[in-house]
Amino acid sequence: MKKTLLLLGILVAMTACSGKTVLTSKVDVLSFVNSSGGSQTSGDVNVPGSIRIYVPDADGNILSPDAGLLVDGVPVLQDLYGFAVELKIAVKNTGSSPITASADFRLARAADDANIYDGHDDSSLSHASISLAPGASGTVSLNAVLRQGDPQLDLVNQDGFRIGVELDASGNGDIHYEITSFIVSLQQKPFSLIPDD
Amino acid sequence: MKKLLVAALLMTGGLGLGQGVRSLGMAGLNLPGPWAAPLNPAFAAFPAAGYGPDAGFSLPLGVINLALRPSTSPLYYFSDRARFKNNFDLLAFYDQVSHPYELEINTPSSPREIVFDVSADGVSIRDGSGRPFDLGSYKNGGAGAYQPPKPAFELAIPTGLPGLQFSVGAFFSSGGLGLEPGPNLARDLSRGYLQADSEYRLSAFGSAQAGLTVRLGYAGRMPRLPGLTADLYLGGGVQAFYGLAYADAKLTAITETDSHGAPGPVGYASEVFLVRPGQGSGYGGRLDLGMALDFGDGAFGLGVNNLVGMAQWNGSLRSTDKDGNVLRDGPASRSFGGFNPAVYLNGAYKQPLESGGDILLGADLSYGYGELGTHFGLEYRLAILRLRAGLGYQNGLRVGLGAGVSLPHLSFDAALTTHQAAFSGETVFGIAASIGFAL
Repeated sequence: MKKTLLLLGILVAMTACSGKTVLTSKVDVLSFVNSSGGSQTSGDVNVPGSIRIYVPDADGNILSPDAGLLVDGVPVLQDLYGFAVELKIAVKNTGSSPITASADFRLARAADDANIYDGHDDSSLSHASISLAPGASGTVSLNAVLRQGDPQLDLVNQDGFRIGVELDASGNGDIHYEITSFIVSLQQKPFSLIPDD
Repeated sequence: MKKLLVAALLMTGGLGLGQGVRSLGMAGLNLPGPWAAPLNPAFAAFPAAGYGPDAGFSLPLGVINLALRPSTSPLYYFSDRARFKNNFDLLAFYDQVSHPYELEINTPSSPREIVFDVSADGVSIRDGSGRPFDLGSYKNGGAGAYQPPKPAFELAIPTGLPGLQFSVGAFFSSGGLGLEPGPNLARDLSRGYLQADSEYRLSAFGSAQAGLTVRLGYAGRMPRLPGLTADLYLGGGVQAFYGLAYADAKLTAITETDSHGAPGPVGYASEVFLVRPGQGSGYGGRLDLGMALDFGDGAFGLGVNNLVGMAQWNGSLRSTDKDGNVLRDGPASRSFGGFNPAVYLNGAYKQPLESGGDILLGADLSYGYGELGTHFGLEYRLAILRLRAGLGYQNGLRVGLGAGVSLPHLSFDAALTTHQAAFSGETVFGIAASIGFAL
């Protein structure tokens, strides 16, 4: 995908060389997870008091924290002007007891290839929770926006970045979850690449 | 260094190609008169008083924007880097450089946002409004077809013989810049996604030429023919040129997608033909013919430039393939010629008004080098006052409003004019002004 940027370089040079022009990459993360053949975007989980699962799964076990999903080769990766995530998880309490579910979105450095949930080279960008009565459904929405100058933007570099979601559920019963939307947007101003002096 | 030279030639191609302020005030219309002689050689002998006088020297008002306006001035790069980074717009700069005699009120702007939609299926590109990019529109007007040199200015040398003209001049013009997607890229960008196992090409191109001209012509009023109630003017001329510099360049980005639609390595193929002083030259000539009729209260003209013509440029060609291998690096030439005329038709009618003054109504139609143009305009003349308006089509819709004062030894004219910006097609409003002195 990095190569696409090169191909489109002429286009950008001809049309977008303005101090006000913003290049935006909208990455449909869900399509990449689905195309990898995994089934981590949805599932049924038994909640025996409390449980934590980590998606997208990188180590074959959704119950263990891992390296998440590496996003690289996106046309816009350097000197970011903005970063945003929009994530929606549909959750249904399929059991007979109340369940509380929460989700935490993590952003990590590409080099953080062991555990993006341990606070080293990674950061929590958004957290949300929901309580569901037996048989009830709801949506957990995670939204975060970073702007130029936010230290968390340093986690994104030319090598890409890692993302993942930690889902916590507490109660006694069963839930069905499904990630219905997972979009990451990166923005860059081409003129910001010009040296300041 | 060679690349810099080529880039500089291509970027500044519009310099020196100003249009008279009087004409701009009528949306580009040229009334019958000596000022229209470059389009119809018969007008060289046409009396200036009938539909004139023309405006004086155009003032390069565009320099104000190029020096001071943050969106068009590259000077802020040196004096205020932050302002430059926040405001400079290459498209606005290019458009203002291309119209140096207009102070552009609203400069065109590059897109505010370009969106790459990245998914497992591939990448698509659209602008911030959700429209796919139409790369075909990113071509400057006139790009592509070779046009024989048009002098930016000419110096007339008296011959002492009635009707015989001799002049020397200089030209500096650009064939425009353009961006041309290969058929696969144009098709798939409009569809939204790149395909698997396909080759994609995107070419940027441009050309420019500069040199000196010599022109020998004749224009005169013919003896009144029996039964004809108008004065007939005929004119013709041969213009030869010596070319000092010429460049045409094409840079093509090439990539192939794999079986999953992912682009592979991008290579850049290039082809640069270059003539520069001391390393090559050009020469050529063209024949122009024209006729005009003056009915007293009306006039009509038909001019054909470049009825026959040829141009030859001898320089060097360097081409490389997408892997950077030099395919050719040596002497080469470019030849243009044959029947490739530019036809210009114009007419005007003069209506005296009972309240004083008169109104000149005019229209013109031109076709040449693949471009069609037409303009309609009028000028109201009352004592020293001139008011003008016009509507036309030339690389898009044009509108003009103008005013001036014409004193015995001094004239001042101003025009509010429009043109459509290269690449973006935005309507740009500009102010032009000229001042004239007469002994």
